[in-house]
Amino acid sequence: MVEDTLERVTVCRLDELEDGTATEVTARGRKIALCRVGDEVFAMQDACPHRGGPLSYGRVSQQRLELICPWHFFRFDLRTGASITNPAMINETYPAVVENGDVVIEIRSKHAR
Amino acid sequence: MHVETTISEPLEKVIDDWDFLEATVAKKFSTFRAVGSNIYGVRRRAVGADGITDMKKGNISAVFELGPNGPVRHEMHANNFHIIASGTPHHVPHSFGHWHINDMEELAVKFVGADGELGYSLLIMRTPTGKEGESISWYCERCLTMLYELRLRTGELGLGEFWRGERAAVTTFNSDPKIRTCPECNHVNPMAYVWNPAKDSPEEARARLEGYGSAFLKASEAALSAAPLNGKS
Repeated sequence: MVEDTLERVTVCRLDELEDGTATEVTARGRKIALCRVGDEVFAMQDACPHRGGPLSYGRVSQQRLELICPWHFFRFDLRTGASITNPAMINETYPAVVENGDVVIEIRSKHAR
Repeated sequence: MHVETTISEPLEKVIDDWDFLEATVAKKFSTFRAVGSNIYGVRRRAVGADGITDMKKGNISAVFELGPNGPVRHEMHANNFHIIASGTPHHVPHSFGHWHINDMEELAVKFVGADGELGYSLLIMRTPTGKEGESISWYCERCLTMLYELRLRTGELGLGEFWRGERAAVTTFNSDPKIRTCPECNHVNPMAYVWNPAKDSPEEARARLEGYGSAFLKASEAALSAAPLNGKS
């Protein structure tokens, strides 16, 4: 039997993230690109679905809420993970919130019971 | 005297016996053709030590590949053996006015012709299957923001999907200035063109000369002329 669990993981403090940039964090064995736009944080799998480029080294467009892959410049919507130019290409996103200055992300996992 | 050769066997059966550069064989691959597990293209072009010239397209020696450091220019010439890694956006100004992103590796080889004759440009790739495919895309020529992409399901729908999709993508890109306008720097990118010049509209024929891709050529030529020769200033 497989059980679906939702874990809330504190990954860093908001003030450790530079505004308008992406940062690599690891949570529950997953590499995640964390993007700060003002007081908001967005979390996305740190591998471009095109060729696995490290999105945490990419550029953040604060105006358009996009993360741009540093390898071939594919653009991803920070809110949905969908490619701007090919909506069928979707990167995994994780809900992220700021609580008392901590950045907390939610990770859904499947466990055998 | 003109002689027409007719071969009745399926290509798959006789392909191993064929000389790809024999005139009657080469002609069958003048666009692209899938045979067995590969796709082949063979074109007659002026191939020399100083570059490649297509009679209809002009100088098509420069191949741009897009990577982390921006567009990188490769110069094609006689006896070149060049591989474009799968997934790498590549563009040949004057030849096709877009960036092609292929899930397959592409191998390009250029041969000189016999005395006074045109040479050969040979391109080989594995035939895509299943979810494998390719994209026709554009990046802003000024800041490299990705502007538009049309994903083609050539693995499921076959090679015809490429020609249909390339035509559709170029028509869409050219007909909508909003698509050609960069959301990052507001530059309005010039019009584009398909691979086959016989399909050019008058606007696309002009674009083939001085439209999309010209900026990459100019920028790379400016960089080359600014660089000191042999490390000396």
